This record gives sequence, C-alpha cells and structure tokens, in this order.
Amino acid sequence: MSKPKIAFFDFTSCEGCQLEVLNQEPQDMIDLLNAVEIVNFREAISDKGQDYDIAFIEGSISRPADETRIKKIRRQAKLLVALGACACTGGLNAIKNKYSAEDYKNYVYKDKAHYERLDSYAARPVSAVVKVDFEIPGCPINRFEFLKVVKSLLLGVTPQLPEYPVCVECKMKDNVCLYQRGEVCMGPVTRAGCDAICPSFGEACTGCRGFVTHPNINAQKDVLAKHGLSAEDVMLNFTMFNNFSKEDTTR
Amino acid sequence: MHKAMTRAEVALFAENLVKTNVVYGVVAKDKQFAWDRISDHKEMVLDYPTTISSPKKYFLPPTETLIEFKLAANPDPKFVNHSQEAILFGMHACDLYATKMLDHAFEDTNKDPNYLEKRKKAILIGVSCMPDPDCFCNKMSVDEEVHNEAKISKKEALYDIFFKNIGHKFLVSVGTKRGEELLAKYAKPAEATKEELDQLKVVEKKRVESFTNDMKLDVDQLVKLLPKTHKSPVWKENADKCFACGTCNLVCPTCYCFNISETVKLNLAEGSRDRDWDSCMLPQFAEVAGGENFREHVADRLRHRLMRKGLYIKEKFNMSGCTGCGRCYRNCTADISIVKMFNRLKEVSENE
Ligand code: SF4
Ligand code: SF4
Ligand code: SF4
Ligand code: SF4
Repeated sequence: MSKPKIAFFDFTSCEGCQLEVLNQEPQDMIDLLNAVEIVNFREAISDKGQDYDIAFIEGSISRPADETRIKKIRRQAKLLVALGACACTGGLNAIKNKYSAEDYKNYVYKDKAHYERLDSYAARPVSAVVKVDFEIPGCPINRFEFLKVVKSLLLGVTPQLPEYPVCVECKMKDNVCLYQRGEVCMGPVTRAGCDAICPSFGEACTGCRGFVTHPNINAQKDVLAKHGLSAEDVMLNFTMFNNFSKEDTTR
Repeated sequence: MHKAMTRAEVALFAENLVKTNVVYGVVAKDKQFAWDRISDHKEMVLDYPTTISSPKKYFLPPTETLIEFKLAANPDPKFVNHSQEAILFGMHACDLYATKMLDHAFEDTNKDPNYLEKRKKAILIGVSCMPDPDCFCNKMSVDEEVHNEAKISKKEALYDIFFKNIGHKFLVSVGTKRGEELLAKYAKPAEATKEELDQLKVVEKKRVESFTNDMKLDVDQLVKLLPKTHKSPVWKENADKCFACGTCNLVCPTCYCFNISETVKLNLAEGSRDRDWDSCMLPQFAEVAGGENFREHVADRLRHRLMRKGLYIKEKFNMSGCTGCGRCYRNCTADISIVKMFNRLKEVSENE
C-alpha cells in the first residue's frame, strides 16, 4: 500500500492548529511520517505538492476568493478534513458576524480600515461552502485526537467524535467543578474530546469544540443566569466559538 | 469488641502503613476532597464530609487497558491486570456498602478478573462521618449492613477495620481476620473503657439526629413505588433541566457500567482493548448498530437510572442500588436531586 499523501491548507486562522499537528512526541511524529506522506504544509515544509489524497483545512472561509480556493482543494482531495474551531464552526472569526462590516473594521484595523485587502464577508465554517468528510474541532485541536483521526482514516474506519459533553472527561479526572467554586463553565453543552483540559487547569470551558449533538441550550442559559450572569454575559458565552448561523451566509 | 486509639496513635498507625504499603486515602482538593494515592500520611484526612468521585475509581479505574494485541495473523493477546496489595484508608459507611454492591456485580455471571483481583488484594479501612444536608444513607439501610453485629462477630464485616471518631480518640472495630492481623502488626491499641463506649453512644446518637435530608422513602418503599412510575410525568419534568452529561453516574459509587473499545497504535502493528467508564445518562448508551436507540429521550434515561438505584439492583442483589451518599445531586450542574425526584414520584403516584 502506498502511503496516502496529505496536505494542509490554511484560511482565516492563526495556524495554531497546524502547530499542534507538529507538536507531537518524537515517536508519534516518526510513526506519523512512516504512515503518511506530507506533500503540502506551509508551517513545516517548503514543498507545495498539488497531488494529495487527504486535505486538512484550517481556518474559516471569510472572503469570496476563499471559496474559489477551497472548491479547488475539494475537487483534488479524496477526503477533506476540517481542522480546528475556525474551520468547524467559524470559531472566533464568526464573532464579527454580529456586527456591521464598518464597525468591526474600524474596531480592529483603526486607521487602516479602508484598505481593500481587508474586505471580508461573514466568516463561515468550511462545511458551509464545500462537503466536509470529517471535523476535528477545538481551539486549538487536541493533537491526540488528530492522531486518532489519522489512524482511523488509514484503517478505513469512520472516525468518531465523542457524543457526550466535556463534563464526562472532567468527572473522569475527578476535577472540582467550576460551578462549585462559584464560577461558570460551558462544559455541560460542549462536545468532549479535549480531555477537559480547561477545567483541569481551573479555567472555564468556553465551548471551543462546539456543542454536543443535542445540547440542552435552555438549561445552560438557566444555569448561567442562576450563577449570576447577565443576559448579555450569557450570550457572550454562547457566541464566543459558536456564533455562526446559517443566516450569516445570506447577509 | 472495640479498641481505643488516640489521634496520635492513629496518625502513627497511618504513617507506618504508608511507609510499607500502597495506601489510598482522601486528600484535600481545592476546598473539596478526593481519593488519591497517599505518599505522605500527613496529607491524608480522616474528617471529611464527602469526596467528589468515590473510591470505586480504585477498583474500576475511569480508563483501563484489558488486553494488548498485535495486528497480525496471530494477535498474541496479553491480558493486562495491574492488581496489587493495597489499603484503602478512610472509607465512609456508604462507600463500604457500595463496594459490597459492586462485588456482587463483578462476581455475577462473567467474573471480572481486573476488578476482583484488585478487590481481593485490598484492605478496607472505614472511618465514621457526620452527615451533610445531602446525605441520606440513613434511609438506604447502609448502617444496618455495615455495622451488622452478626457479620462483625463472624469476622465477615464489609470492612477490615473501622475507626469511630469520638472526639479525643477513635474507637476501633475489627471486621475481619485480615483487619485483626494488620492492626496487630502496626499498632498496640488498648481495649475501650466503659466511658469511651458511653461516649461512642452519645456520638452515634448525635450522628443519627444530624440527618436533615427530606427523603420520604426507604429501600422497601422504593421497591414498591417504582414499578408504578413508568409513565410518571416526573421523568419529563426533570429531563427538561437535565444536560444528559453523565456526571451523576460517574460520581456514583454504585454505577459500574463501562464501554469497551479497541485502539490501534499509529504504527498500525499493535493495539489494545480498553474500557472506560460509561454512563446510562449519555445519548449513545442504549444505541445499537443501525442507529436504533432504546432510550433516545433524556426522560427515558433518567427513569432508567433511578430504576437501577431504587429497584433493579435491589431485585438482583438484594442490596440497595443507592447508598444515599448524595454525590449525584452535589455534582449535578442542573441541581437535579435524586431525593426530590423520588419524593415527587411518590407524591404524584399518591395523587393519581
Ligand atoms: S467544570 Fe465544567 S466541564 Fe467540569 S463538571 Fe463542571 S461544568 Fe462540567
Ligand atoms: S475545555 Fe472547552 S474550551 Fe477548553 S479545549 Fe475543551 S472544549 Fe475547548
Ligand atoms: S448530573 Fe444532572 S444534568 Fe448531568 S445527567 Fe445527571 S441529572 Fe442530568
Ligand atoms: S444514586 Fe446518588 S445518592 Fe445514590 S449512591 Fe449514587 S451518587 Fe450516591
């Protein structure tokens, strides 16, 4: 069996997820390179191979030009995997979708706001533009989950994301719940798979992995309000990583 | 029947144990308490209200490898079992009761070597407690079973040794032959005096009076009530608030469900079969091949969980499936209380 060729491409993102791909234990990296051939990876190599089987896409789609590029990649790739929060849910980029272009451009770019190359439209997940075969969520991704997905793809098995929320991993680690320390947390509605890394270090889960399939949104809003959050702060928790909605693409 | 030890003597006993044995005990964790491996006896606490998860995590770890194999014509499976001689120091009565219940579960039909060997090699040392507002073990027949005179005199108690805090001292009850040997090896306790035994009665009376829970049903009443509640509106009422997050199962000392999965290493040459804690509150728990889910709705799952706690386990092993430890409620982010649910089921059923 010849090694599958894999390629990485980035759109609107910080490229942190690709750094996580590289941030492996040495033996894992060796095993990875034995199993696949990397033909295009701006963060790591200078080759720009255009012949690949699996494309990993980091970043959200936020300009018409991005659409053309991602469609071309989709045509070439046998499998297309969205890598990280921006690619899976629109991520932090989609926060801007609730403001007018003028407002967010002035806020972010100040005196350069009029530069034409800074024009963008509503940020959207890759799946809003092309078919995505699989998603590896998270800001950044969990490097072990990346390896798990690669293994599944190599074995021809559909990779599985956990269907349960972060609380499961949190309780398996016997963590003190943030709610019991008088803080709040999005863990009850957020898809697990990160090993509850934020609560394990005493930080709230902010929902970077997106929601579970059937999140109890009303209950989460009630619990946040009960713990003293204003209606506005409740919304901020929901929109930090999960602000994108289908209507954004029509505006 | 009781020996007496000063706090200093108990501390020395613990120190000696920790020096020469693998000891698990309770340590402070950010204003709460958790079970952990003890390396310094000074970290171990004996006066604690409750722990986040229960000591079941020692016998049934959250994640555990069962078999290692090769991806080859001959998979050459190796069974993995990390059992060792160990002492669990500081178990409350509810957790001793739960451990007995788990023993039944893992001895039943398919004997589970990983659990049972750890269990066989473990010495259980209990310690008395004072109930917090969410404890309701007094309704769940825990003390009757743990402090059962007949079992203790036959040296077949649920604990090997049990320390009863009477303030300035601990009165010590020995529950098994092993406990007797361990105590003799590491301590020289005096017989309890008449005054000390009287003091124990005072403390025990105070403990019984300290329960403030509102639980309106005992084990036998639950068994009578629950079969009538399958269609109760109470399940849905609570499901609307529930995250289906599984926390209530994971922290419960009597929940023993696990999920088995096989993982292959990146070299695609070796792999392992592992088991992780599972939870009947999670959406995929009752899902089978083809996508059919026998308990698709959260209300169905809540009903199943409470049936296990109040009915099925009692029918199967003649022990309560719930010890009344209160962990599920304390740790539920949605504040769903098992006591309130049981009481409400009773109330609704009486008004039907
Ligand atoms: S800290 Fe967050 S993730 Fe952990 S149990 Fe509490 S709500 Fe769930
Ligand atoms: S705990 Fe929440 S915010 Fe943190 S990595 Fe996991 S999903 Fe993301
Ligand atoms: S801990 Fe509470 S919210 Fe989570 S599944 Fe149990 S009852 Fe529902
Ligand atoms: S059901 Fe709740 S109260 Fe009963 S044993 Fe389990 S965690 Fe404790």
